[in-house]
Amino acid sequence: MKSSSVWLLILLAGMLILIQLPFWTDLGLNGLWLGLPQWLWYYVVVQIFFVMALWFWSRVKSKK
Amino acid sequence: MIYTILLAYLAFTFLGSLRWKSQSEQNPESYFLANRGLTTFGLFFTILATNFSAFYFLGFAGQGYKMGFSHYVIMSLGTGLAAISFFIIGVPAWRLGKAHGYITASELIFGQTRSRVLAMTVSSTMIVFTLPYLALQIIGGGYLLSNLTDGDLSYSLSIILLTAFTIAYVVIGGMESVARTDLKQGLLVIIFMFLAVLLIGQQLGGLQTANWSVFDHHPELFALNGEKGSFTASKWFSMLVFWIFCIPMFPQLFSRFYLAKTEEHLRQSALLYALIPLFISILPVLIGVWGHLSFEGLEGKNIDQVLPLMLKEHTSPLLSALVMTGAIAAFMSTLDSQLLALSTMITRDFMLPIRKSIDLPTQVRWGKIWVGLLALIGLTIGFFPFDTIFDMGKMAFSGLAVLFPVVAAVIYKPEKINHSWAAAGIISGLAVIVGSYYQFFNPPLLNGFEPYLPALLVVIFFLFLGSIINSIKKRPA
Repeated sequence: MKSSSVWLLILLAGMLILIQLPFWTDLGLNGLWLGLPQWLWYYVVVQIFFVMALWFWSRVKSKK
Repeated sequence: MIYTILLAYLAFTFLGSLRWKSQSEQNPESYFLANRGLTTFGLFFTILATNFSAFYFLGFAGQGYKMGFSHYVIMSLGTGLAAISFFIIGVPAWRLGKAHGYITASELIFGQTRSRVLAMTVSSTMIVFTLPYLALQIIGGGYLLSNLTDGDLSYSLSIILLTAFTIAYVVIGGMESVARTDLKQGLLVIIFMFLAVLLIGQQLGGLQTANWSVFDHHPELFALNGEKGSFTASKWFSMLVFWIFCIPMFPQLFSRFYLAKTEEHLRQSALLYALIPLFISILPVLIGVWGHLSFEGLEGKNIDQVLPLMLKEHTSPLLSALVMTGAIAAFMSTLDSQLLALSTMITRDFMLPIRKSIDLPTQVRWGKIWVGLLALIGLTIGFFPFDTIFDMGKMAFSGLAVLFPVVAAVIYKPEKINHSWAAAGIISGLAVIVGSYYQFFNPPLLNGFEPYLPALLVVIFFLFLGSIINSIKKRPA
Protein backbone atom coordinates (compact mmCIF):
# COMPACT_ATOMS: atom_id res chain seq x y z
CA MET A 1 0.00 0.00 0.00
CA LYS A 2 1.30 3.49 -0.87
CA SER A 3 2.38 5.70 2.03
CA SER A 4 -0.15 8.40 1.01
CA SER A 5 -2.98 5.86 1.36
CA VAL A 6 -1.65 4.86 4.79
CA TRP A 7 -1.76 8.52 5.90
CA LEU A 8 -5.33 8.81 4.62
CA LEU A 9 -6.32 5.73 6.62
CA ILE A 10 -4.60 7.16 9.72
CA LEU A 11 -6.58 10.41 9.25
CA LEU A 12 -9.82 8.44 8.94
CA ALA A 13 -9.02 6.38 12.06
CA GLY A 14 -8.20 9.57 13.99
CA MET A 15 -11.49 11.08 12.89
CA LEU A 16 -13.41 8.03 14.06
CA ILE A 17 -11.80 8.33 17.50
CA LEU A 18 -12.62 12.07 17.69
CA ILE A 19 -16.21 11.37 16.61
CA GLN A 20 -16.76 8.79 19.35
CA LEU A 21 -14.80 10.59 22.09
CA PRO A 22 -17.78 12.46 23.66
CA PHE A 23 -19.53 9.08 24.06
CA TRP A 24 -16.55 7.44 25.75
CA THR A 25 -15.66 10.16 28.22
CA ASP A 26 -17.29 13.22 29.74
CA LEU A 27 -15.68 16.22 28.06
CA GLY A 28 -17.79 18.61 30.13
CA LEU A 29 -19.62 19.91 27.06
CA ASN A 30 -23.06 20.00 28.60
CA GLY A 31 -24.12 23.65 28.40
CA LEU A 32 -25.01 26.00 25.56
CA TRP A 33 -22.67 28.47 23.90
CA LEU A 34 -24.11 31.18 21.64
CA GLY A 35 -27.42 29.38 21.92
CA LEU A 36 -26.04 26.12 20.54
CA PRO A 37 -24.96 22.99 22.45
CA GLN A 38 -21.27 22.99 23.42
CA TRP A 39 -20.79 19.48 22.02
CA LEU A 40 -21.94 20.84 18.64
CA TRP A 41 -19.05 23.33 18.68
CA TYR A 42 -16.69 20.44 19.49
CA TYR A 43 -17.78 18.74 16.26
CA VAL A 44 -17.43 22.00 14.31
CA VAL A 45 -13.77 22.17 15.43
CA VAL A 46 -13.29 18.48 14.55
CA GLN A 47 -14.64 19.10 11.04
CA ILE A 48 -12.40 22.12 10.50
CA PHE A 49 -9.42 20.04 11.64
CA PHE A 50 -10.47 17.31 9.17
CA VAL A 51 -10.67 19.74 6.23
CA MET A 52 -7.25 21.20 7.05
CA ALA A 53 -5.69 17.74 7.39
CA LEU A 54 -7.24 16.62 4.11
CA TRP A 55 -6.08 19.79 2.36
CA PHE A 56 -2.51 19.23 3.68
CA TRP A 57 -2.56 15.57 2.62
CA SER A 58 -3.86 16.49 -0.83
CA ARG A 59 -1.16 19.16 -1.30
CA VAL A 60 1.64 16.82 -0.30
CA LYS A 61 0.27 14.08 -2.55
CA SER A 62 -0.10 16.34 -5.60
CA LYS A 63 3.47 17.67 -5.19
CA LYS A 64 4.95 14.15 -5.18
CA MET B 1 -47.36 37.58 -7.35
CA ILE B 2 -46.53 33.98 -6.42
CA TYR B 3 -46.91 32.82 -10.03
CA THR B 4 -44.75 35.70 -11.32
CA ILE B 5 -41.94 34.78 -8.90
CA LEU B 6 -42.24 31.12 -9.78
CA LEU B 7 -42.10 31.71 -13.52
CA ALA B 8 -39.35 34.35 -13.29
CA TYR B 9 -37.20 32.09 -11.10
CA LEU B 10 -37.59 29.07 -13.34
CA ALA B 11 -36.91 31.18 -16.44
CA PHE B 12 -33.73 32.61 -14.87
CA THR B 13 -32.26 29.40 -13.50
CA PHE B 14 -33.40 26.87 -16.07
CA LEU B 15 -34.22 28.51 -19.38
CA GLY B 16 -31.34 31.00 -18.98
CA SER B 17 -28.94 28.04 -18.77
CA LEU B 18 -30.39 26.06 -21.62
CA ARG B 19 -27.93 25.25 -24.37
CA TRP B 20 -29.75 24.06 -27.45
CA LYS B 21 -27.58 21.81 -29.56
CA SER B 22 -28.19 20.64 -33.06
CA GLN B 23 -28.45 16.92 -33.69
CA SER B 24 -24.97 16.86 -35.22
CA GLU B 25 -23.39 18.44 -32.12
CA GLN B 26 -24.90 15.84 -29.84
CA ASN B 27 -22.83 12.84 -28.86
CA PRO B 28 -22.75 10.87 -25.60
CA GLU B 29 -19.64 12.71 -24.26
CA SER B 30 -21.31 16.09 -24.75
CA TYR B 31 -24.91 15.15 -23.86
CA PHE B 32 -24.10 12.99 -20.82
CA LEU B 33 -20.77 14.44 -19.58
CA ALA B 34 -20.53 18.07 -20.79
CA ASN B 35 -17.34 17.06 -22.68
CA ARG B 36 -15.46 16.35 -19.39
CA GLY B 37 -14.64 20.01 -19.11
CA LEU B 38 -15.74 21.30 -15.68
CA THR B 39 -13.32 23.26 -13.52
CA THR B 40 -13.32 23.53 -9.70
CA PHE B 41 -16.28 25.84 -9.01
CA GLY B 42 -18.51 24.53 -11.80
CA LEU B 43 -17.80 20.98 -10.63
CA PHE B 44 -18.28 21.78 -6.94
CA PHE B 45 -21.57 23.59 -7.48
CA THR B 46 -22.95 20.89 -9.75
CA ILE B 47 -22.11 18.34 -7.03
CA LEU B 48 -23.58 20.59 -4.32
CA ALA B 49 -26.76 21.41 -6.25
CA THR B 50 -27.22 17.72 -6.97
CA ASN B 51 -27.18 17.20 -3.20
CA PHE B 52 -29.55 20.12 -2.54
CA SER B 53 -32.56 17.93 -2.75
CA ALA B 54 -35.86 17.49 -0.97
CA PHE B 55 -33.75 15.52 1.51
CA TYR B 56 -31.80 18.70 2.38
CA PHE B 57 -34.68 21.17 2.59
CA LEU B 58 -37.60 19.19 3.92
CA GLY B 59 -35.80 16.15 5.32
CA PHE B 60 -33.17 18.09 7.35
CA ALA B 61 -35.80 20.50 8.73
CA GLY B 62 -38.10 17.58 9.59
CA GLN B 63 -35.29 15.70 11.34
CA GLY B 64 -34.20 18.90 13.13
CA TYR B 65 -37.77 19.11 14.43
CA LYS B 66 -37.76 15.47 15.48
CA MET B 67 -34.16 14.79 16.58
CA GLY B 68 -32.70 18.23 17.29
CA PHE B 69 -29.11 19.39 16.75
CA SER B 70 -27.62 15.88 16.58
CA HIS B 71 -28.96 15.80 13.04
CA TYR B 72 -26.82 18.80 12.11
CA VAL B 73 -23.59 17.01 13.10
CA ILE B 74 -24.65 13.83 11.34
CA MET B 75 -25.23 15.70 8.10
CA SER B 76 -22.44 18.26 8.30
CA LEU B 77 -19.56 16.12 9.54
CA GLY B 78 -20.99 13.02 7.87
CA THR B 79 -21.08 14.58 4.39
CA GLY B 80 -17.74 16.26 5.10
CA LEU B 81 -16.17 12.87 5.77
CA ALA B 82 -17.54 11.66 2.44
CA ALA B 83 -14.90 13.86 0.78
CA ILE B 84 -12.47 11.02 1.59
CA SER B 85 -14.40 8.92 -0.91
CA PHE B 86 -13.75 11.51 -3.60
CA PHE B 87 -10.07 10.68 -3.19
CA ILE B 88 -10.50 6.92 -2.72
CA ILE B 89 -13.08 6.33 -5.47
CA GLY B 90 -13.49 9.62 -7.38
CA VAL B 91 -9.90 10.35 -8.42
CA PRO B 92 -9.08 6.83 -9.69
CA ALA B 93 -12.50 6.66 -11.39
CA TRP B 94 -11.73 9.97 -13.13
CA ARG B 95 -8.33 8.62 -14.32
CA LEU B 96 -9.85 5.40 -15.63
CA GLY B 97 -12.79 7.27 -17.18
CA LYS B 98 -10.51 9.66 -19.04
CA ALA B 99 -8.17 6.92 -20.22
CA HIS B 100 -10.88 4.57 -21.47
CA GLY B 101 -13.79 6.93 -22.24
CA TYR B 102 -16.12 5.55 -19.56
CA ILE B 103 -19.43 7.36 -19.12
CA THR B 104 -21.16 5.22 -16.48
CA ALA B 105 -20.02 3.41 -13.32
CA SER B 106 -20.93 0.12 -14.89
CA GLU B 107 -18.64 0.72 -17.88
CA LEU B 108 -15.78 1.10 -15.41
CA ILE B 109 -16.75 -2.18 -13.73
CA PHE B 110 -16.90 -3.99 -17.06
CA GLY B 111 -13.69 -2.38 -18.32
CA GLN B 112 -11.78 -3.50 -15.23
CA THR B 113 -13.25 -6.98 -14.81
CA ARG B 114 -14.73 -7.93 -18.25
CA SER B 115 -17.70 -9.29 -16.30
CA ARG B 116 -21.04 -8.31 -17.78
CA VAL B 117 -22.91 -9.96 -14.88
CA LEU B 118 -21.11 -7.89 -12.25
CA ALA B 119 -21.43 -4.67 -14.28
CA MET B 120 -25.17 -5.20 -14.74
CA THR B 121 -25.66 -6.08 -11.06
CA VAL B 122 -24.02 -2.80 -10.04
CA SER B 123 -25.97 -0.84 -12.63
CA SER B 124 -29.34 -2.44 -11.71
CA THR B 125 -28.75 -1.74 -8.00
CA MET B 126 -27.93 1.89 -8.73
CA ILE B 127 -31.06 2.29 -10.86
CA VAL B 128 -33.50 0.51 -8.51
CA PHE B 129 -32.27 2.22 -5.33
CA THR B 130 -32.09 5.65 -6.91
CA LEU B 131 -35.76 5.52 -7.92
CA PRO B 132 -37.13 6.22 -4.40
CA TYR B 133 -34.57 9.06 -4.07
CA LEU B 134 -35.69 10.39 -7.45
CA ALA B 135 -39.33 10.19 -6.33
CA LEU B 136 -38.44 12.22 -3.22
CA GLN B 137 -37.72 15.24 -5.41
CA ILE B 138 -41.13 14.93 -7.03
CA ILE B 139 -42.87 14.46 -3.68
CA GLY B 140 -41.01 17.39 -2.05
CA GLY B 141 -41.65 19.64 -5.06
CA GLY B 142 -45.35 18.71 -4.95
CA TYR B 143 -45.64 19.56 -1.24
CA LEU B 144 -43.98 22.91 -1.74
CA LEU B 145 -45.72 23.97 -4.95
CA SER B 146 -49.11 23.10 -3.52
CA ASN B 147 -48.24 24.96 -0.31
CA LEU B 148 -46.83 27.93 -2.20
CA THR B 149 -50.03 28.37 -4.22
CA ASP B 150 -52.24 27.90 -1.12
CA GLY B 151 -53.69 24.76 -2.65
CA ASP B 152 -54.66 26.43 -5.98
CA LEU B 153 -52.52 23.73 -7.53
CA SER B 154 -53.31 20.41 -5.88
CA TYR B 155 -50.44 18.09 -4.85
CA SER B 156 -51.24 15.77 -7.79
CA LEU B 157 -51.28 18.57 -10.36
CA SER B 158 -48.10 20.05 -8.85
CA ILE B 159 -46.10 16.84 -9.21
CA ILE B 160 -47.34 16.36 -12.79
CA LEU B 161 -46.34 19.91 -13.79
CA LEU B 162 -42.90 19.72 -12.15
CA THR B 163 -42.14 16.33 -13.69
CA ALA B 164 -43.21 17.47 -17.16
CA PHE B 165 -41.04 20.60 -16.96
CA THR B 166 -38.00 18.60 -15.84
CA ILE B 167 -38.41 15.99 -18.58
CA ALA B 168 -38.56 18.74 -21.22
CA TYR B 169 -35.51 20.47 -19.75
CA VAL B 170 -33.29 17.38 -19.63
CA VAL B 171 -34.34 16.19 -23.06
CA ILE B 172 -33.48 19.52 -24.65
CA GLY B 173 -30.43 20.52 -22.63
CA GLY B 174 -28.40 17.47 -21.54
CA MET B 175 -25.57 17.66 -19.00
CA GLU B 176 -24.11 21.01 -20.09
CA SER B 177 -27.38 22.82 -19.39
CA VAL B 178 -27.89 20.83 -16.17
CA ALA B 179 -24.44 21.84 -14.88
CA ARG B 180 -25.00 25.51 -15.78
CA THR B 181 -28.31 25.47 -13.89
CA ASP B 182 -26.62 23.87 -10.88
CA LEU B 183 -24.13 26.72 -10.51
CA LYS B 184 -26.86 29.41 -10.33
CA GLN B 185 -29.06 27.16 -8.30
CA GLY B 186 -26.42 26.38 -5.66
CA LEU B 187 -25.60 30.04 -5.09
CA LEU B 188 -29.23 31.22 -4.95
CA VAL B 189 -30.33 28.50 -2.57
CA ILE B 190 -27.52 29.25 -0.10
CA ILE B 191 -28.37 32.98 -0.13
CA PHE B 192 -32.12 32.41 0.33
CA MET B 193 -31.69 29.88 3.13
CA PHE B 194 -29.36 32.23 5.04
CA LEU B 195 -31.95 35.01 4.63
CA ALA B 196 -34.76 32.74 5.81
CA VAL B 197 -32.85 31.73 8.98
CA LEU B 198 -32.00 35.36 9.76
CA LEU B 199 -35.57 36.59 9.29
CA ILE B 200 -37.27 33.72 11.11
CA GLY B 201 -34.71 34.04 13.94
CA GLN B 202 -35.39 37.77 14.14
CA GLN B 203 -39.14 37.15 14.35
CA LEU B 204 -38.54 34.74 17.23
CA GLY B 205 -36.47 37.30 19.18
CA GLY B 206 -33.00 36.57 17.79
CA LEU B 207 -31.07 33.36 17.17
CA GLN B 208 -29.94 32.82 20.77
CA THR B 209 -33.31 33.73 22.31
CA ALA B 210 -35.12 31.39 19.93
CA ASN B 211 -32.79 28.54 20.86
CA TRP B 212 -33.12 29.22 24.60
CA SER B 213 -36.92 29.24 24.25
CA VAL B 214 -36.86 25.81 22.60
CA PHE B 215 -34.30 24.58 25.17
CA ASP B 216 -36.66 25.50 28.05
CA HIS B 217 -39.38 23.21 26.70
CA HIS B 218 -37.39 20.60 24.75
CA PRO B 219 -33.88 20.16 26.24
CA GLU B 220 -33.71 16.74 24.58
CA LEU B 221 -33.32 18.47 21.18
CA PHE B 222 -30.01 19.89 22.46
CA ALA B 223 -28.69 16.56 23.78
CA LEU B 224 -25.88 14.72 22.03
CA ASN B 225 -27.80 11.47 22.22
CA GLY B 226 -30.97 13.03 20.82
CA GLU B 227 -34.58 12.52 21.73
CA LYS B 228 -35.10 9.78 24.36
CA GLY B 229 -31.39 8.89 24.10
CA SER B 230 -31.99 7.37 20.67
CA PHE B 231 -28.50 8.25 19.41
CA THR B 232 -26.39 5.62 21.12
CA ALA B 233 -22.63 5.45 20.42
CA SER B 234 -23.19 2.73 17.79
CA LYS B 235 -26.01 4.65 16.08
CA TRP B 236 -23.91 7.82 16.08
CA PHE B 237 -20.97 5.96 14.52
CA SER B 238 -23.25 4.34 11.91
CA MET B 239 -24.87 7.59 10.85
CA LEU B 240 -21.64 9.59 10.61
CA VAL B 241 -19.74 7.00 8.60
CA PHE B 242 -22.77 6.23 6.41
CA TRP B 243 -22.12 9.02 3.90
CA ILE B 244 -18.57 7.87 3.11
CA PHE B 245 -20.07 4.74 1.55
CA CYS B 246 -23.28 5.96 -0.03
CA ILE B 247 -22.54 9.41 -1.48
CA PRO B 248 -20.01 8.24 -4.11
CA MET B 249 -22.45 5.51 -5.15
CA PHE B 250 -25.22 7.94 -6.11
CA PRO B 251 -25.23 7.48 -9.91
CA GLN B 252 -25.69 11.21 -10.48
CA LEU B 253 -22.65 11.86 -8.28
CA PHE B 254 -20.49 9.06 -9.66
CA SER B 255 -20.99 10.46 -13.17
CA ARG B 256 -19.79 13.84 -11.86
CA PHE B 257 -16.39 12.33 -11.07
CA TYR B 258 -15.96 11.98 -14.83
CA LEU B 259 -16.89 15.62 -15.50
CA ALA B 260 -13.71 17.15 -14.05
CA LYS B 261 -11.38 18.78 -16.54
CA THR B 262 -8.29 17.73 -14.57
CA GLU B 263 -7.55 15.65 -11.50
CA GLU B 264 -6.61 18.82 -9.60
CA HIS B 265 -10.09 20.29 -10.19
CA LEU B 266 -11.65 17.16 -8.71
CA ARG B 267 -9.38 17.30 -5.64
CA GLN B 268 -10.20 20.96 -5.02
CA SER B 269 -13.93 20.26 -5.36
CA ALA B 270 -13.56 17.46 -2.81
CA LEU B 271 -12.00 19.86 -0.29
CA LEU B 272 -14.82 22.36 -0.79
CA TYR B 273 -17.27 19.50 -0.37
CA ALA B 274 -15.69 18.69 3.02
CA LEU B 275 -15.95 22.29 4.21
CA ILE B 276 -19.21 23.79 2.93
CA PRO B 277 -21.71 21.44 4.72
CA LEU B 278 -20.41 22.96 7.98
CA PHE B 279 -22.17 26.23 7.08
CA ILE B 280 -25.20 25.13 5.12
CA SER B 281 -26.43 22.06 7.03
CA ILE B 282 -27.28 24.11 10.10
CA LEU B 283 -29.82 26.28 8.24
CA PRO B 284 -32.74 23.86 7.73
CA VAL B 285 -31.99 22.13 11.07
CA LEU B 286 -32.32 25.45 12.94
CA ILE B 287 -35.65 26.17 11.26
CA GLY B 288 -36.80 22.63 12.13
CA VAL B 289 -35.80 23.02 15.82
CA TRP B 290 -37.55 26.39 16.00
CA GLY B 291 -40.63 24.75 14.55
CA HIS B 292 -41.50 23.71 18.12
CA LEU B 293 -42.12 27.36 19.00
CA SER B 294 -44.89 27.70 16.42
CA PHE B 295 -46.11 24.21 15.53
CA GLU B 296 -46.11 21.74 18.40
CA GLY B 297 -47.10 18.14 17.89
CA LEU B 298 -46.18 17.46 14.25
CA GLU B 299 -45.74 13.72 13.75
CA GLY B 300 -45.05 11.13 11.04
CA LYS B 301 -44.95 12.49 7.47
CA ASN B 302 -46.19 15.89 8.73
CA ILE B 303 -42.72 16.72 10.06
CA ASP B 304 -41.68 17.16 6.40
CA GLN B 305 -43.96 20.21 6.27
CA VAL B 306 -42.20 22.14 9.05
CA LEU B 307 -40.03 24.25 6.70
CA PRO B 308 -42.86 25.60 4.50
CA LEU B 309 -45.04 26.13 7.58
CA MET B 310 -42.31 28.17 9.31
CA LEU B 311 -41.61 30.21 6.19
CA LYS B 312 -45.27 31.11 5.79
CA GLU B 313 -45.69 31.91 9.47
CA HIS B 314 -42.57 34.01 10.00
CA THR B 315 -41.41 35.59 6.75
CA SER B 316 -42.94 37.99 4.23
CA PRO B 317 -44.90 36.44 1.36
CA LEU B 318 -42.12 37.57 -0.99
CA LEU B 319 -39.25 35.81 0.84
CA SER B 320 -41.41 32.81 1.60
CA ALA B 321 -42.20 32.52 -2.12
CA LEU B 322 -38.54 32.99 -3.10
CA VAL B 323 -37.23 30.34 -0.68
CA MET B 324 -39.92 27.85 -1.62
CA THR B 325 -39.43 28.48 -5.33
CA GLY B 326 -35.67 28.10 -4.81
CA ALA B 327 -36.31 24.81 -3.05
CA ILE B 328 -38.60 23.62 -5.84
CA ALA B 329 -35.96 24.52 -8.42
CA ALA B 330 -33.37 22.70 -6.25
CA PHE B 331 -35.50 19.55 -6.30
CA MET B 332 -35.80 19.85 -10.05
CA SER B 333 -32.06 20.26 -10.48
CA THR B 334 -31.49 17.08 -8.44
CA LEU B 335 -34.21 15.33 -10.41
CA ASP B 336 -32.74 16.35 -13.77
CA SER B 337 -29.29 15.01 -12.76
CA GLN B 338 -30.81 11.73 -11.58
CA LEU B 339 -32.87 11.31 -14.73
CA LEU B 340 -29.84 12.00 -16.89
CA ALA B 341 -27.60 9.60 -14.92
CA LEU B 342 -30.15 6.76 -14.88
CA SER B 343 -31.15 7.13 -18.53
CA THR B 344 -27.46 7.08 -19.48
CA MET B 345 -27.00 3.87 -17.52
CA ILE B 346 -29.97 2.11 -19.06
CA THR B 347 -28.96 3.14 -22.57
CA ARG B 348 -25.27 2.31 -22.29
CA ASP B 349 -25.22 -0.52 -19.73
CA PHE B 350 -28.24 -2.51 -20.90
CA MET B 351 -29.04 -1.54 -24.50
CA LEU B 352 -25.54 -1.26 -25.97
CA PRO B 353 -24.39 -4.76 -24.94
CA ILE B 354 -27.50 -6.21 -26.62
CA ARG B 355 -27.55 -4.02 -29.75
CA LYS B 356 -23.96 -3.03 -30.45
CA SER B 357 -24.93 -1.40 -33.75
CA ILE B 358 -26.65 1.59 -32.08
CA ASP B 359 -24.89 4.71 -33.36
CA LEU B 360 -24.10 7.70 -31.14
CA PRO B 361 -27.07 9.98 -32.05
CA THR B 362 -29.40 6.99 -31.55
CA GLN B 363 -27.93 6.44 -28.06
CA VAL B 364 -28.76 10.06 -27.22
CA ARG B 365 -32.30 9.60 -28.59
CA TRP B 366 -32.82 6.46 -26.50
CA GLY B 367 -31.43 8.28 -23.47
CA LYS B 368 -34.14 10.90 -23.92
CA ILE B 369 -36.88 8.28 -24.16
CA TRP B 370 -35.64 6.72 -20.91
CA VAL B 371 -35.66 10.12 -19.22
CA GLY B 372 -39.43 10.25 -19.84
CA LEU B 373 -40.06 6.68 -18.72
CA LEU B 374 -38.01 7.00 -15.52
CA ALA B 375 -39.75 10.26 -14.66
CA LEU B 376 -43.09 8.47 -15.01
CA ILE B 377 -41.96 5.77 -12.56
CA GLY B 378 -40.89 8.51 -10.13
CA LEU B 379 -44.23 10.22 -10.62
CA THR B 380 -46.08 6.99 -9.82
CA ILE B 381 -44.13 6.64 -6.54
CA GLY B 382 -44.89 10.33 -5.94
CA PHE B 383 -48.62 9.57 -6.00
CA PHE B 384 -48.14 6.91 -3.30
CA PRO B 385 -45.24 7.92 -0.99
CA PHE B 386 -44.48 4.98 1.30
CA ASP B 387 -42.61 6.73 4.14
CA THR B 388 -41.27 10.10 5.37
CA ILE B 389 -38.81 11.84 3.08
CA PHE B 390 -35.91 11.11 5.44
CA ASP B 391 -36.70 7.41 5.84
CA MET B 392 -37.34 6.84 2.12
CA GLY B 393 -33.99 8.51 1.45
CA LYS B 394 -32.18 6.48 4.11
CA MET B 395 -33.44 3.20 2.71
CA ALA B 396 -32.40 4.18 -0.84
CA PHE B 397 -28.96 5.37 0.33
CA SER B 398 -28.37 2.16 2.32
CA GLY B 399 -28.96 0.10 -0.82
CA LEU B 400 -26.45 2.20 -2.74
CA ALA B 401 -23.86 1.99 0.09
CA VAL B 402 -23.77 -1.79 -0.37
CA LEU B 403 -21.98 -1.24 -3.71
CA PHE B 404 -19.01 0.57 -2.17
CA PRO B 405 -16.78 -2.43 -1.31
CA VAL B 406 -17.27 -3.96 -4.76
CA VAL B 407 -16.54 -0.71 -6.63
CA ALA B 408 -13.46 -0.09 -4.43
CA ALA B 409 -12.24 -3.65 -5.06
CA VAL B 410 -12.81 -3.24 -8.81
CA ILE B 411 -10.72 -0.08 -8.85
CA TYR B 412 -7.83 -1.34 -6.71
CA LYS B 413 -7.70 -5.14 -7.06
CA PRO B 414 -9.73 -6.16 -10.12
CA GLU B 415 -7.65 -9.31 -10.65
CA LYS B 416 -8.58 -10.68 -7.20
CA ILE B 417 -12.35 -10.42 -7.70
CA ASN B 418 -14.46 -13.50 -8.26
CA HIS B 419 -17.25 -11.98 -10.33
CA SER B 420 -20.05 -14.35 -9.36
CA TRP B 421 -19.25 -14.10 -5.64
CA ALA B 422 -19.07 -10.31 -5.85
CA ALA B 423 -22.50 -10.16 -7.53
CA ALA B 424 -23.87 -12.62 -4.94
CA GLY B 425 -22.40 -10.42 -2.20
CA ILE B 426 -24.26 -7.37 -3.54
CA ILE B 427 -27.55 -9.27 -3.69
CA SER B 428 -27.06 -10.65 -0.15
CA GLY B 429 -26.20 -7.17 1.17
CA LEU B 430 -29.34 -5.77 -0.42
CA ALA B 431 -31.36 -8.57 1.17
CA VAL B 432 -30.09 -7.41 4.58
CA ILE B 433 -31.13 -3.81 3.80
CA VAL B 434 -34.61 -4.66 2.50
CA GLY B 435 -35.14 -7.28 5.21
CA SER B 436 -34.36 -4.84 8.00
CA TYR B 437 -36.41 -2.04 6.40
CA TYR B 438 -39.48 -4.30 6.38
CA GLN B 439 -38.43 -5.63 9.82
CA PHE B 440 -37.99 -9.25 8.79
CA PHE B 441 -34.93 -9.22 11.07
CA ASN B 442 -34.96 -8.66 14.78
CA PRO B 443 -33.47 -5.15 15.35
CA PRO B 444 -31.45 -6.23 18.47
CA LEU B 445 -29.42 -8.45 16.13
CA LEU B 446 -27.96 -5.25 14.69
CA ASN B 447 -26.71 -4.29 18.17
CA GLY B 448 -27.69 -0.64 17.67
CA PHE B 449 -25.85 -0.27 14.35
CA GLU B 450 -27.65 0.83 11.20
CA PRO B 451 -28.49 -2.09 8.86
CA TYR B 452 -26.08 -0.93 6.14
CA LEU B 453 -23.07 -1.84 8.34
CA PRO B 454 -23.88 -5.57 8.63
CA ALA B 455 -24.83 -5.42 4.92
CA LEU B 456 -21.35 -4.05 4.10
CA LEU B 457 -19.76 -6.82 6.19
CA VAL B 458 -21.75 -9.41 4.22
CA VAL B 459 -20.47 -7.96 0.91
CA ILE B 460 -16.86 -7.86 2.17
CA PHE B 461 -17.20 -11.48 3.37
CA PHE B 462 -18.37 -12.55 -0.11
CA LEU B 463 -15.53 -10.63 -1.80
CA PHE B 464 -13.03 -12.28 0.55
CA LEU B 465 -14.43 -15.78 -0.06
CA GLY B 466 -14.43 -15.15 -3.81
CA SER B 467 -10.76 -14.10 -3.79
CA ILE B 468 -9.82 -17.26 -1.84
CA ILE B 469 -11.68 -19.41 -4.38
CA ASN B 470 -9.87 -17.57 -7.20
CA SER B 471 -6.46 -18.19 -5.68
CA ILE B 472 -7.27 -21.91 -5.13
CA LYS B 473 -8.36 -22.22 -8.79
CA LYS B 474 -5.17 -20.51 -10.02
CA ARG B 475 -2.89 -22.73 -7.92
CA PRO B 476 -1.10 -25.27 -10.15
CA ALA B 477 -2.28 -28.82 -9.61
